[in-house]
This record gives sequence, C-alpha cells and structure tokens, in this order.
Amino acid sequence: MIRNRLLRPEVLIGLSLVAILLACAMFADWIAPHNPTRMAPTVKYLPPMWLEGGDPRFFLGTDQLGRDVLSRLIHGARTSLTIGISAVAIAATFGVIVGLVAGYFRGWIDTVIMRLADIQLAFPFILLALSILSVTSTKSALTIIVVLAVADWVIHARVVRSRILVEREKEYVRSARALGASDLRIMFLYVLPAVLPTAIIIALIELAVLMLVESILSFIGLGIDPPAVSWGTALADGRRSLANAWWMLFFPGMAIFLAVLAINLVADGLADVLDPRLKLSGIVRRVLRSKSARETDTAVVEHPPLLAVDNLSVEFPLEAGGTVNAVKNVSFTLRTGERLGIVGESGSGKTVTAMTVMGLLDTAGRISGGSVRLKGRDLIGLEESKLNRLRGSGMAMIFQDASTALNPVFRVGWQIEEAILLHQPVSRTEARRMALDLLRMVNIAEPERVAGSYPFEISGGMQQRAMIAIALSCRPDLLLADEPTTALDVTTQAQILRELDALIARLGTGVILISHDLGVIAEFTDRVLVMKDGEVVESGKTADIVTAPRHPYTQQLLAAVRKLEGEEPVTERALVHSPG
Amino acid sequence: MRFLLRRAAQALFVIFGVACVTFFVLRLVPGDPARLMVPPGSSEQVVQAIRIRLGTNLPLLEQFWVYMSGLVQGDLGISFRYERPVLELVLTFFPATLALGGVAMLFSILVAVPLGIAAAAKPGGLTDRLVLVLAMAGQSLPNFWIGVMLVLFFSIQLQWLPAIGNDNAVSYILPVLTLSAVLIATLVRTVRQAMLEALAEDYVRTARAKGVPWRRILFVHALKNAAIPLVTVIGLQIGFVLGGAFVVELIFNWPGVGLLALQAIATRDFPVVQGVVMLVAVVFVVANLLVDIAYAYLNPRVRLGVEQ
Amino acid sequence: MTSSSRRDWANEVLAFAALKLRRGEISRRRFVQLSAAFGAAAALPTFGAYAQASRDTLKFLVGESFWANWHPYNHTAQIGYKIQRNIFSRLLEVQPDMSLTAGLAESWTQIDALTWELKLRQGVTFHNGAPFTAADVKASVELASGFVPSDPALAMSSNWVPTEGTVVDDHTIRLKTASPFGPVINTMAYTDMLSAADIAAGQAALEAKPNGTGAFMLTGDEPNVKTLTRFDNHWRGPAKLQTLTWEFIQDAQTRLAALLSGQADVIDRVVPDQASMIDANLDARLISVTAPEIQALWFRMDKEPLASNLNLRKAIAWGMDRESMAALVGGAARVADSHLAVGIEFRAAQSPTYGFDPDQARAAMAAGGGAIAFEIGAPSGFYPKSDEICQLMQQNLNEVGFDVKLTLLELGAWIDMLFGESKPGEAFYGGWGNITRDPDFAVATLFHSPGAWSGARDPRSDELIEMGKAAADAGERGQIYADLQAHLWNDLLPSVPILYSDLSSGYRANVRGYEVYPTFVQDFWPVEIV
Repeated sequence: MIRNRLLRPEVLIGLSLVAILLACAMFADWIAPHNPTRMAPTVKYLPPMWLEGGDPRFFLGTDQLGRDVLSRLIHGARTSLTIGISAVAIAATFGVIVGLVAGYFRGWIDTVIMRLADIQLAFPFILLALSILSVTSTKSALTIIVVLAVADWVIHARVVRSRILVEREKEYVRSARALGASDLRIMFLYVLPAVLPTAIIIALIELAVLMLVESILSFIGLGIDPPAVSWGTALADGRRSLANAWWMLFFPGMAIFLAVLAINLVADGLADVLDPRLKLSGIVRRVLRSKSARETDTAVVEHPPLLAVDNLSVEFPLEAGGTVNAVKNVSFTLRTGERLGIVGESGSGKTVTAMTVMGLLDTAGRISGGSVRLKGRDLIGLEESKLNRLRGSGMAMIFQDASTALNPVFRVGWQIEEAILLHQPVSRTEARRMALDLLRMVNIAEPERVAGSYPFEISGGMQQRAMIAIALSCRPDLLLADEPTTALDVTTQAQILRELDALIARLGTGVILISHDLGVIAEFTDRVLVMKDGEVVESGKTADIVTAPRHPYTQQLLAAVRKLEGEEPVTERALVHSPG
Repeated sequence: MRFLLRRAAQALFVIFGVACVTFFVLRLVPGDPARLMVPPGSSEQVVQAIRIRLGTNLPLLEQFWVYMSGLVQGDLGISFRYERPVLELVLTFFPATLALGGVAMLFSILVAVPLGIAAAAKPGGLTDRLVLVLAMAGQSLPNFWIGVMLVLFFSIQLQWLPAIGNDNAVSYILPVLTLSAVLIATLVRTVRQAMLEALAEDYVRTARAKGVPWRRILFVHALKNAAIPLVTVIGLQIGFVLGGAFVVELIFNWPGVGLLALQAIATRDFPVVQGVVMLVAVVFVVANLLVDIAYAYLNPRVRLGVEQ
Repeated sequence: MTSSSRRDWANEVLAFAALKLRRGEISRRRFVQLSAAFGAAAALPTFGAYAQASRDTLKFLVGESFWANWHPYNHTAQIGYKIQRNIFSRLLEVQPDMSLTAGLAESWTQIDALTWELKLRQGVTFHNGAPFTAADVKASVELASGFVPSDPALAMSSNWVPTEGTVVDDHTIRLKTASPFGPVINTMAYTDMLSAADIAAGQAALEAKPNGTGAFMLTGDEPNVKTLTRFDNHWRGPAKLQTLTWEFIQDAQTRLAALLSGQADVIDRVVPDQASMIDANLDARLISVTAPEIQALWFRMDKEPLASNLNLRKAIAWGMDRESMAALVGGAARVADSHLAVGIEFRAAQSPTYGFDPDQARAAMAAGGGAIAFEIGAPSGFYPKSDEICQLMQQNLNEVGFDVKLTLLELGAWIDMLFGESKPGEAFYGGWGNITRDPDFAVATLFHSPGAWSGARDPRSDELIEMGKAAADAGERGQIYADLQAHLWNDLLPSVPILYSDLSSGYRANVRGYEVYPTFVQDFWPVEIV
C-alpha cells in the first residue's frame, strides 16, 4: 500500500531527479567533462553546442572566463546541495528542539520564544544576511550555511510547536503524565516521535527553499567566494552577462528549478505516506456520481410505494486492488408514513445504503447493481440538478453528529432558511418566520436566540433539534435518520427520540431509522431490517423480530441489548408503541 | 477586545525588538560611513570631522539612546548621504513598494482563489493536476530569474513593456508578474488544501442532503470555511512579499524602499537602513494584526471569545 | 519593424487616406473606419515610441549615486564633476581629445614662474542673473586652492597650492601661486567658477544649491533624480535641449534594458560585454574611448614580505596574463604599459612590458627567495570585471608557484580594509581615474608618502613628484615625469598596472552631438534629439 502511494509517477520523477542531483554532488569530479574553475579567456562566451558558434567540447557553452557551463553546474550541485543540507540540518535540529520546548511547556517560555521568533521574522532577510556575511571578510560555505540556518530555524520551530500543541492534549500523553513520567521523558520518547514525520517533511521542503535563497543571495552579490562555484554564483554571473550569453542565466536557473521541483515532489510523496496533512495533493476523496447512467423506467406502478429498493449492490475499490461489496443485493420497500429500522454493527452497510438512496455516495463507491425508486421514480442515474431538487424537499436526512454536520461559520437560522429558500418560493422575511416556527416545532424554547447563534454556541441536543428542523423544513415524504441520537447523552437521547416520534407522527413522514442500538429500533419502528456484512439477514415486523428473532445474528444483538440494559424486558416497550 | 489589546502590545514589543537588533547589527558590519563619504586616503582629521557631523563618534550606547529617544517621538534621524530626514525619505519611497506589493497580493489572490477552487472541485481531474503541477513549478522557480527573463523577452526583444520605473499602469505588469509567481503557487496550494478539507467535512454532506447545488456548496459553504486558513497564510506571505519586493525593485529599478535600502546598505547610510527596516517591521506587524482581526471576524469561535 | 517606425507607417497611411478623402476617392465613413484602425495603431502605447513625445527632453542614466551636498570643491566623486560640467563653467575647458580650449578665460599668459594673467570673457552671467567678473574668479580660486583656509580643508585644495588672485579690472585677473605649480593650467580646467557673492554667503549656501554659468540650471533635486533646465543666457548660446533628467540606477543591466526599450536616451558606464546587445539593436549606438583610468594590483609597501622584495614583485608582474585581462574587459580597454594612463600628459610606454611569461616569473621568484603565500583584497562589483580579473590573476600566480588567497569584499568593507586601522592582506586590487590630463593628479596622492595608497616611503619617488609639481616649464616636466615613470616601473614597482579602462556610453540613434570625454564628464550643451 505504501509502495503504491510512493510510486506515483510524479514522485518517481522527483526521486530520479534527486538521484541525478546526488550523483552529481558525489561524483562531480568524474562526471564533469572539464575543470570548473580553470579559466581560458580565449574560449569565453561560446554558445551551447547545438547553436551556431558552439563547440562540441562545451555542451552548454562557456561563461565569461571560458569555463564550461555544464561542468560548473555539476560541481555547483555539490556546493549548493552541501550548503542546503547543512543549513537545513542545523536549522531543523535547533528549530525542532525550540519548538518542542515552547509547545510542550507553554507559559512564559512559549511567549518569550515566540516573540523572539516574531522579531526575527519581521526583520528583512536580506539585511540579516548582509550583516552576518559582512562581519566575516570571506564568504565561505560555512558563513553562508550559518546565515541560511539562522534565517530558517523559525519555520521549523513554529510548525513543530503547533503540532505539539495538539499532541500534548492527546490521551497517551495524559496517561503518561498520570503515570508519573518526567517531562523530558515524555517530550523525547512520546511526543517527539509523533511529530518527527512532520518535521522531516518540513525539512525537505525547507531544503528546497534554502537552495532558492542561496541563489538569491548570490544574485545580490553575497554568494560564496570564488573559486568555489555554486548554482547561485553561476546565476549571478549569468545575470551580469545576460547581454551576450543568455545560456549562462538559463541553464543554472533550470538546474535550480529542477532540483527544487524534484525535492518538492519527493517531499510530497513522503507526506502522502507519513503525514497527509502536509500533502500538496491534499485529501483525495472524490465525489462521484454513480457510473451507471441508465434509462429511467417510465413505467410507473399504480400507487407505488414511497421507497422501493431492489437488489441494490454497492462496491468500493480497495487500496491493494480489487473491490469489496459494501452492500449486496439489498431489497426493501417503505410505504408512506411507515417507519423502517435498519440495524447492524458498523460495517454492515446500513449507512452506505442510506447514502445511496440520497445520492450522497461520496467516496469511491460505485453502484454495481439494483435500483432505488422514490415514488416510482428511479433515483440512480438521475441528473444532479434534479436530484438536488428532490433532496431536502422530497427526501431528507439527519446525521449522527450534529456538531460537525452543521456549518460552523453560518448561524443556525441562516442554515434553516437556506433549506427553505432552496425549495419554496417565499421571501427572505417569510423564510425567517418559517425558520423560527420550525425551531419552535422542535421544542426549542428561545427560537430567536438559537436562530441567531452559531452551532458551537448551543448544546448537542439543540444542535440535533436544529438538524431535525432543517430536515423537516420542507415537509419531505421520506426522512432518513442515521444514528440520530448516538452522539448524545442518554437523557437527551430519549427526549429527542420522543420529540422526533411526535413530529413525524404529525407530519406523516416515512422514516428509515438506522441504528446499531436494537433498543432504539424496537421502540421506534414498525418494521426492521437486520444487516450484516452488506446483506439483509432478517427482516420483518419489529414486534416479531424482537420477540422471536430467527437469525443467529439477530439473536446475538438482542442478547447484547438485554445485557446492557439489565433485566428490563424489551417486549413491553415494543408493545407500547402502535404502528400506524 | 482584550484579545486585540494583547496582540497590539505584542506587536509593539516586536517593533521595539527589531529596532534594537537593527541598530546593533548594522554597527557590527565593517565599513565606516564617514570614511565612505570622503575621498579614499583622506586624513584622519577629515574623517573624524565627518564622524562628528554624523554623530558616529559618540560611544555606542549613547548613540543608541539618541536614536531610541528620537524613534519614540517619530524622528528617524537624518540620512548620512542624502542629508534629509529619514522619515521623509522613507515615506517618499514607501508608496511605490506598497503599490507593488499590494497589486501583486491582490492579483495573486484573484488568480489563486478561483484556480484553487476549480482544482478542489474535481480532485484528481485535469484542472486539478494542471494546477498542482503549475503550483509546484511556481514554487520551484527563482523569482528573480523569471524577472530577468521577462525583461529580456518583453522589454528588450519585443519592446512591448517597459523595463524600468513605475510611471504608468503598464509598467506594473512585469514586476507584478515576477513578484506574484511564487505567491500564486503558494496561495493556490493553500486554497486547494483548505477547500478539500472543507469539502470533506460533514456539513458539506448535510448541505448536499438539503439539496444545495454544487456551485453554491463550493462558493458559499466551503469557501467561507476555507477562507480562515487562507487568511492566515496570506498574513504569513506578506512578509515574504516585502522581502521579494527588494529583489524585484532592483531588477526593475522600482523606486521603492527596497531599492532605497539596498543603496543605503552600500553606502553604509545607517539611519536610512534602520528607517527602512523599522518600516518593514511595522508593516509586517500591522499586517499580521489585520490578519488576526480578519481571522477573528471569519471564525465565529474566535470572535465570540470561545477558547479553541 | 520597430515601434517608432510602426507609428510612422501608421501616420503615413493616415495621411494618405486623408488625401484620398479630400479627393473624394473614399467615403467619409470609410475614412473614419481607417482612422480608427490606424489611429489606434499609431497611438498604441508601445514603449519604444514612449521614449520621446517631446524632442527636447533627454533622459540620462548614471551608475554612481548622487551626493546631497552641492559644494563643487568638497568632493572627489566622478558624478559630481559630471553634473558640474553642465551647471558651471571653468576658465579653460577640456575637450574630448584632451586638449584645452578657452572657457571663461579667453587668453592666458604666464608672467613669471608664479603668476599667470588671464583675460576673461565678457557678457557672461550666472543663473541668478549676476554678471561674471574677475572678482568671482578671485573668490573661487582663493577658496578652491586653500588660500582662504577652510576648516577642515576642502578636498579640492589638495589639488592646488594656495593661490592668490589680484583683480586688474573687471575682465582681467592675475593668479599667483604660493610656490611654483606645474599643473596650474590643467587644474584650472576642472575648477568650477563660482559667484563671489555665493562664496561670501558661506559654505552652507554653496552646499544647498548650485549657481553657475553653465548651460543648464538645477531645477529638480530628488535623491535619485536630478532635473536640469536650459539656461537661455549661457555664454555659448542656449543649449539645444530644454530639459535634462539625470537618474541614478545602480545596476548596469537595468540601465541597458532601459536604453534598449527606449526609456532612456543615454546611459553611462556601459560594460563592453553589453556592446553586442547595443549593436544588435537598431535604435541604439555605442561610443567608446580608452580612459585615463588605471586598474592595478597594489602592494602594501609597508608590509613584508613584499615591501622590501623587488624580485618578488617583479615575479608577480611577469606572472600575470595582463593581455587576457584586458581582453576580458574588452572594448577600448588596453594593457597598461606605464603608471601614467593614456591621455595623461608626458606619459610614455615603459619597458620591459612585463608580458605574460611564467618562466621569467619563476626565475624572478627564485631570485627573490622562493614562493610565498599572500592575500589579495578586491572590491566586488565596483570596477568592471574586477572579479574575473582577480580570479584569473589568482590562477596565473598559483601556476607560477605562489599561493594566492583571493578575498572579494563589498565596497564599504574594501575601503575599510584599505584605510582602516588594521591592514589585512599583502596586496589589493584598485583603480584610479584621472579627471585631468595632468600627471601630478595621477601620482601625487597615490605614490607620495605619507598617505600614499601603497604605503611606500620612497625618497626618490617623493623627490620626483615634488619636482614635477613645481616645475613650470613643459620640457622640464617632461623629463621629470619620464624619470618618474621609469623609476616606478623598474626600480620600485609599488603596483603593477594592469589595464587602462574602457569608457563607453550607450545612446539612442536619434541623439546627436553626444561625446564621451575621457575625463569622465559629459557636456550636454551641443546635444540634441532629432
């Protein structure tokens, strides 16, 4: 799996370029056709070999002192790379330690260190470089390394620090501290290894940056002293001779460009494996519509059921190749006003089924067979715009974790209004009024306050109620509820369920309730599907199933519920609720 | 409000720190400014007379005190070379740099945001791959190399665009392109990343469940969330834009503070160098403060004072 | 097609169309259409045409930053002399061929060893309207020469001996030097004439704003841009140009780009490498002379092991490939064959030529006690190609057997190294430009002790230099300087002159009358744009 991700074409290109770079650096003396520092003014300014006036001895031409450009580039690789790697090593080591200390201990240490870092960041780099480089009379590789390292450590410190801030709150750190481990031990044995991947990737990226910076320094005349040659000094020479010899500027620039690009590609490949947060390519999740765009069946059955799912199968591709069937030949129907429960453990395919109905299959999933019809209308293969019109108005869904399901940067009222305005031809003021009514309908005491609040300002229970308000705002015929109360505490759970129960009874909405909790299913639904590994293993009236489960899996589920709830028999509760 | 005050106090501290560091670092650099103002080989008396006039004959700490007390009153000293108040010089040259940096930043945002959104809308698609390649390339190119090649091609060969100066709108084109190249690459990556993360969040699923059209999800639901990290990155980039402007001003002879500073360094005109550094530091700090404010505005958690 | 010719072509077509319209050969509507199309083409803001909407404004780019202080006698900056050439006039004027012609003085006769009498031109006025008289000459010369003492002494006074002026009448003056002063006439040629009233107003007034009798007045004074405007009452007649804008641009490539794109009309200090680009461009031209500017390797004559070892110094001279170094610079640069550069009076080629001869070098090195290690300090980026020359030098000398360390320093640090308290290194690379053809200027500061660049304290050099300064007779001076050159070249060798610089300017093809003066000045009075 890792190999696959590392061997993406871009990364391979990057790795090969880096390999060439390293080869040049290590074997420059053997690879380079000429001595890079030997001056021969008689052959100065020769163009590259393939141009008029070029000399086959000098593939990329010569510079203002008759030195071979190609040889200078090859040797320059060694210098530039050495300077870059040394500078990054120093900067990273220092930066990581400082970031570690600042992030871990926080308090005044953190403040002082971060202020110092701010000061350095505010200081223009060129002046910093000039000051340091001017104090020493020679500009050796060492002085340049020091300049670059001094300029760069701040980046490493900052990144590591922000990662540490997150890591130190994690469980394993807390427990280590609870166990009495010393700070030093925690820092270096626990926290550091966790941030090391990030630090390595940042180091690679900064290597590329510093190689660029070295060329900038050379450009303004602060490059390494001759006879040493780096890409930066070659670039500076090229700039001065641009009038006569464009190749002196072009090829060093290309060399820097390719080297930096290569390092970035490799860093990206590494990030993919070690710390996807840093990846250039980001999270690769694809929003796919189902591939099978089939003809909608125009033959509409008289009085069709609200929802008819027929032999639905959904598959997902595996990282290692091949596919897995998340849903296998699932069939069920739902009548208007009916309540269907789908129960099963995680991975049983219940959520995937619901998502498929809504057309929200948002991973690499693919519908490999079967049909889904809402009021006789085939949903699979429906255009996105038509599906959007149905969603929210014809069918709606509420999700497990309301705190993340609501958009954190918009007010609750706005989010409800949006649902209304999308599907109903009303004015904004009207929508606002309707939203407040909806909030009242879901038993929220101060609808104006809640409507004007952001999601994080209200409790979990209120968030879920808001979600319900959004879902029911356009009086959908079908409501899918995916573990709607699992994220709430037990008391609120019961409350919400009761309220939801009353609401949909009043509205006559058909509901599919998904849960892993058989108790909830028992209390709430008319019929139930039991799913395991993507298949329906048992289905029937809820009352029947909970009293006399036939499939061994269902029996296991029941037994588990009984165990957790103590001796309270499930049967009584099931009888309290009457279908209809 | 308390949050703002705290940030403002930190900003002042940073500026003060920069002033101190600049002062001492400059005087460490070899090259006596007095000696640079008289013919080489002039007698020691002549040089000393200049030192007295410039004030560099005083002991270091006394010079520091003079400078600091002036600074607090807004007096940045007199330029050794131009013999004018540094504040006046800096304020004369600064608008050009501000214009260059501002236009470059604006241009970069206008290009990067749509590109980043387009890339994130279809990850792995053609636009996405193209944008990634371009972003990677843009961050790998030395920007002064681009600048010089642009001048060679567009000013000298084709004579379409001016090579130097900031006389009119057209002369902004090449310098802004040079400065923006790397900036666009970085911003595109950020926008794309932020958008991808936003699009992977649950609330996008909710929005789709509501029937919100895809375009609206991109430009309203996801973008407003993506704007938060984007604003932070823009703030970080302001520092780099200012630094990059120095080199661009050299290539295009853009009459901004970068050019002023580079000339002043060569002539060891300490007050001018200090003045420019102070200005850059202030701009940097103010910009970061503005970014923090924007961040607070965009992120309701911060605005309403809730600890993250 | 260049941009300006495109515009001309568009205008031609428009004119032709207008003719057709008048003749009734095309309809009015068609004409309007044509005008729109070609008018747009003609009006396109292309930047070649951008150059001169008005033909009486010229933009001149220089490579040395301006000074804030306008006192003409208190600096040694080339940029100062350059701009002063156009703002002030002098008693005599140097021409591009280094000859002297009448300036504010119509004639000059030597009365005795110490005294000269000059007849002054009539009808000359200053920019502020005041008439120019002998009193102004008296005040100027007495100030410049240090006869009227200043504290600290003005830079200019080290080029003079104190000279007293006696006003005979409004247009006749007698100048009497305190001691015999050979260079007096040559020195008058670069001493600007100021107004006595301005001098009386004090040093601060002179530093604030220049008031001269030159072809242009200073009307704009920004840190990097100076604007000069035509002075209509100039004694040679009004200049052809109305406005001159001088702008400082540090970077040579940027200056070149500006010239080639049409944004500048004349650029100063073109590096010979850039010549090919100027040649390739149809709208630009190049003009070059060999300048009396000498680039040399200087020895620290107050530091062993080189100070007392003439053989080693000669070994170094033989061991450098100076021909190649001159070729590296290219253009009008020439290998140096004397410590006096071309254009300087009484210079003569010396022998042996110290042509590149490693064997001879090794022999001299052996005679001097064998190979040594030494350090050369060079200013980076100040003199053209100095980095490359020094690198080649290092390679040459290392091949001979020396162990040379090359330290490239930024200009400020280099000056510090030269004249600061500690004296690192055994040799340094440096240049010296003569702003006059007088040999005294080329040797007095450099070789006379104390304060000599090289730190040499050689009685014979001092003696010859003093004699040359005091001798008034040309024949006598000729002999003295011949002896001095031979002495410096063969017996002392405190420095090895490498080359005489190329001095090139670039200008647009429509600029006429522009000349390069070997003394690093430009006179814009005869220049026009056609």
